Amino acid sequence: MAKLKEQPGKNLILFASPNLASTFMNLDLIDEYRFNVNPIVLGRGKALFTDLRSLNKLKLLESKTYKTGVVKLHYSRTGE
Amino acid sequence: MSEFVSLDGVIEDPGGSEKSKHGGWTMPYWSDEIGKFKFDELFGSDTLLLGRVTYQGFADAWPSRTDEQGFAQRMNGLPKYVVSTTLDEVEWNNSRLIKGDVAKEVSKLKQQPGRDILIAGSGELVHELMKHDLIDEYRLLVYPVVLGSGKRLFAEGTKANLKLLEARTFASGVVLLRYQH
Repeated sequence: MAKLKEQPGKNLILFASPNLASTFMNLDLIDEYRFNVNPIVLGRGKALFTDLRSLNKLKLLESKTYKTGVVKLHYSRTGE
Repeated sequence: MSEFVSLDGVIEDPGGSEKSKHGGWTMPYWSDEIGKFKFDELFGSDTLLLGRVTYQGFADAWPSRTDEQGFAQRMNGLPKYVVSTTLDEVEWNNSRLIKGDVAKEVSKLKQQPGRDILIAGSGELVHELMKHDLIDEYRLLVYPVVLGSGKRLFAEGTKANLKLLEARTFASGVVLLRYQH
C-alpha cells in the first residue's frame, strides 16, 4: 500500500471495507476519512473500526447536511 | 438525552472520571462554544435522569465544584433521578432512586409538567429507554477521535428511525448532531 500511495496520480479511494480500514488505520495509511451519517439506529451489524491499536485523533475538514437528514463528515488525519 | 460520542460510536468515560483506558478523550477539544451549548442545555432542563455509573462519577465530582456561571450550582441543585438495581441510597443533593419498573417510572416522570428531562451519559439506561420509545431527542456531540474500544452508544438490538433537527460544527472540530425520535 505504501508503494501504491507513492505512485503519481489522483486519490486512492477505499470504499466501506471496515476490516481493511481498521488495518490501514493501524498502519497510518489513511489520509482522509469521509463518512455519511444516516439518521437511523440499526442496533446490529459491523461497526466502523475494530481492533485498533491506539486512539486516533482526526481533524474535521468539513461537515455538510443533506435534505434527507444525512450528514457528511469529512476528516483528515492529524499525524498525532 | 445528550452524549459525548467518539467518531466510532464510543461513549465511555468522556471526562476521565471512570479511569478507563481512553478516559478523558473529550478534554483536548473543550471550547467556550461547547461550554455554552452544555450551559443552555442544562438551564433548559429541570430534571436530571442518570444511570448508576454516570451518577457515581457526577456525585464524586460536582459537589466540590464551583464556577462563575453557576453551572455547578445548577448541577448540584437540580432534582436527580438515579436508576440502579444495586444502590440502596443516593447521597448527592436532591437525588432519589428509581427502582423496579424503569419504563413505567420514567413514563410517569415525563407526564409531569415542566421543562426537559436531561439524560447525560448513562449508556445502559439509554438502551433500556430506547426499547420503550421513551427518548424524544438525541443530542450527540461527535468528537474527531477514533477510540477503537469502549462502551458504545447504541447496544445490539436497539433500533430507531430519527429525524435530523440540526447539525452544528464547533471550531474545535466537534459536530453536534441533534435528532428527534
